[in-house]
Amino acid sequence: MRRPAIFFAIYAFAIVAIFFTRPFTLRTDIMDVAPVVREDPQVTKALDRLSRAYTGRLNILFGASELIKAKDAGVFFKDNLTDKPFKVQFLISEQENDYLSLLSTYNHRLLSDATAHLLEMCDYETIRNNSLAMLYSPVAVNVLPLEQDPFLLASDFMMNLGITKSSFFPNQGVLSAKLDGLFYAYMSIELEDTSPSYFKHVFNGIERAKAKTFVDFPDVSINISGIPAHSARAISKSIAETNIITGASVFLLMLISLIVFRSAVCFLYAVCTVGMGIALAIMLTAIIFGEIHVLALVFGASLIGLCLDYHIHYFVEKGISNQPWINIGRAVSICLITSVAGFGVMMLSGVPILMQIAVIATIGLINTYFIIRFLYPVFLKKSNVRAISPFVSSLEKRLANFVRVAFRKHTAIKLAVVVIFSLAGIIQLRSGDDLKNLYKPEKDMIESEALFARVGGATSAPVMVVIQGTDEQDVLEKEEIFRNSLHSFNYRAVSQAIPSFRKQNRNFALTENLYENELDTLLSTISAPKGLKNKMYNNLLAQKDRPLEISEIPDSLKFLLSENTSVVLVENATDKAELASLAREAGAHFSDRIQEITHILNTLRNKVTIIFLLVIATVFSAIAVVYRSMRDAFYMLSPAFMSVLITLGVLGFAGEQITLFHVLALFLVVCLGADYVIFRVEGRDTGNQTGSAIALSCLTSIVAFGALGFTSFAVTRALGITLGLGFTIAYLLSPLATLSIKRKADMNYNTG
Amino acid sequence: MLAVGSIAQDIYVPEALSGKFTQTREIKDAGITLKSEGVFSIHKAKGIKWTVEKPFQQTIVINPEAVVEGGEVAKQMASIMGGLLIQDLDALQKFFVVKRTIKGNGFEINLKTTDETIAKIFSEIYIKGRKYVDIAILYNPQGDKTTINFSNLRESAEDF
Repeated sequence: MRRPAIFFAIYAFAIVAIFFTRPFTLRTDIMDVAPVVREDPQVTKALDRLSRAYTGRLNILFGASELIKAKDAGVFFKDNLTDKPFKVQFLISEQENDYLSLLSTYNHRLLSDATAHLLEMCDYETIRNNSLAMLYSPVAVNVLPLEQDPFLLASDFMMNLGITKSSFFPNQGVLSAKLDGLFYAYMSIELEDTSPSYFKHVFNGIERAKAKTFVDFPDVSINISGIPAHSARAISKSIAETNIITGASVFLLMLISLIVFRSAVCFLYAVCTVGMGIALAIMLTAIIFGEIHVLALVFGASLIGLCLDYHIHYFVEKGISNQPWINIGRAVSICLITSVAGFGVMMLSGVPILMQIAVIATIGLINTYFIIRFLYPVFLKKSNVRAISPFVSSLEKRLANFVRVAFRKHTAIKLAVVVIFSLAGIIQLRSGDDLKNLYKPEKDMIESEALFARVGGATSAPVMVVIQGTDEQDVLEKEEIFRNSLHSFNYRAVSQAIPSFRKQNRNFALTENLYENELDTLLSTISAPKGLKNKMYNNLLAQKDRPLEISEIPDSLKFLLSENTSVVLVENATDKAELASLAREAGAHFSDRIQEITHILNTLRNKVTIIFLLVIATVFSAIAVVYRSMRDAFYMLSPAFMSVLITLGVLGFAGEQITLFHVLALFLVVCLGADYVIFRVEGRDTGNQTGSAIALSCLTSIVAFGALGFTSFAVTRALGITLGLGFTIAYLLSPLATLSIKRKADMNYNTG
Repeated sequence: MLAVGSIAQDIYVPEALSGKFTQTREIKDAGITLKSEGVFSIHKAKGIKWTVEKPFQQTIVINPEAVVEGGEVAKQMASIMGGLLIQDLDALQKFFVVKRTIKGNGFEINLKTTDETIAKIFSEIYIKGRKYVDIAILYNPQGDKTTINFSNLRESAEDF
């Protein structure tokens, strides 16, 4: 007893110590489930960079009756963000504030697209008339003195500058906007990580700063929006729900342990065994893959829950025998072999998330198997585990008999009816791969987003078009060509703020032509004094060989540009197909991120469905090999397969939209459904105790996992609903397999 | 002078207004004075129609559709011009600190911008009138001065 106990203590300590001291990267981004691989790594890099910039940005609006109040509140808020593990942008730097002044010094090299087009067409008369109309208009926007800009082309350029189409504009040193009589100052926070612990840390800091700001600035509103805000809310809500459900599950499991075994020992052993299995699995998976995706963690850990099955059978047998392993060892071993065979298919699938799930589940199951096989007999040798309550045995026996009697006659017809019913439901199943189905924001979050959209002037996530080139100037030139086809779209592109050298030179030549052809007429129309023309020409020629360099414009306007790529952001694109076609024609890469994620989930679900069928085939083969009978394997796997069909049918009738996560949960239904039958077949000689153990195993599984169906988080909800239904049906149908196999055995006996 | 908060409560804001104008724009640096005259019509919901009759014929319509095309700056200009003509101080207070003084039967309003964008176009605006605006003087950052005299004012707007 002492030696195994010491070994176990060291083993457990090592796992726990390594688990808590060796941090691993937990991926939460849905894009990491199956990253989109594009032909060109530069395109992937540019899109990922921008996409992560969007998904990692928090938008904070400070609203007040006066902009200075909103600004002061923002400064106070920023100062109170202690320990900033992120980038905060609020006050506009001098360089950014002077952006319009900078453009004013290059005004003869900058033209709006419409004016450049008129000049290309030599339509000088229209330009002159427009200029005169502006000059005589009481609302003339004349940003430069007349001698610098007689045709008001700089004003025209700035009024049409795409970058300023957002309602935010530099004012009093911040990006500001006005809506419904209130001034808003805009702050952005760029987050660098997506892990829950980082989010928790960041949002705790933000909430503290917000609370302090409200004390000093009670009249200022603080509106927080952006994808990280939703993620943080979802994580916090999910943790709260999971805690409640876990607490309730633990309580119920403890209660079951106390009612059935009249002791808490069974429950405590289960917690330690499963806990160690999960810790070891996570640790080794993190070493193998370098990181773990949160979905793999959730589903992998759930699969380890299969070992509760082994544990309960051991305890039930222990109640009536001193050597329980002799009675259940073969069944547990067969269950392990079939499950690991199924996971093997997942490991070879090439789908990262499935591979991680399979590794986690395999390690956890093997670890648990060995603990039960080698340590339980030692630790529980002198423990007085009481026999299962006679009430439970009797109840289970009646239930199993009811099922057997119900299907004893006309079995094939009855099962056919069930299959037809299921297929009718399955036909009604609709896929729910749309990203929006994964998360439904709460009312206040919807309002926050709506306010930010109204204040900022954006209404939907932009789609992106990536332009590639040999260097920055080449990129700008290609972008300008592409922009010529974007008349019907509202977009932002870096070449709007800074044209390529080639275009700047062209703009200058067009302006020079305009001066030569129309300046005299204009000046005589407005009765300009002599000498003004020379001043105007001198101002023009001073800019001839002095292009506006990329290095001169603020970083905030260059974020769309990298050395070899630039991204054109098209907002509120209603005709995405046309845009994609235009991008293709221009040799650019079109990307609709939300559509891509939906496509990833759809593709992954289809792949996983195929792999799921392969897993069923593998488990079938494993059972056939063990029992040396295809027919037995068919009967033994039928309840699991039927439970999958019926579960899908019920989900179809219930109007549930099927996602990747429902399909992933079906893996667990098949594995546990097969286990139920294996235990029934192997335990035929031990009578009621096996059935009781299966019933208990099913009940604990439903309590532990089915409760997740009540959560609001789409992933855990899908898991809970599918498992709750699947386990119940698999259990109810499991006696039918023994009925068939018994019949066959009887037939064999009679024939023999 | 009234406090900003109470300005909008005792001022008459017509739904529509039309009349004649004569405008003198003095462009300081260039030493040019541009004179024009014509008619205007404004409706709170429909927008502004500004028709120059002399020295040449030109009509500018600023309505919601035109605002969409002209972008945010044009939208702000339309809001300011509409606010000036019908004394819609709620609209003007978005961009200016408003000081209003009652003098006899009339009023004088002085507007100083708080907005950097608007400051590049108007540095200060002064309007004077009785029931309606009689005169508006607009200064821009280059020192240019635009004086607009209004006459034949009536509370109606032609179709546009």
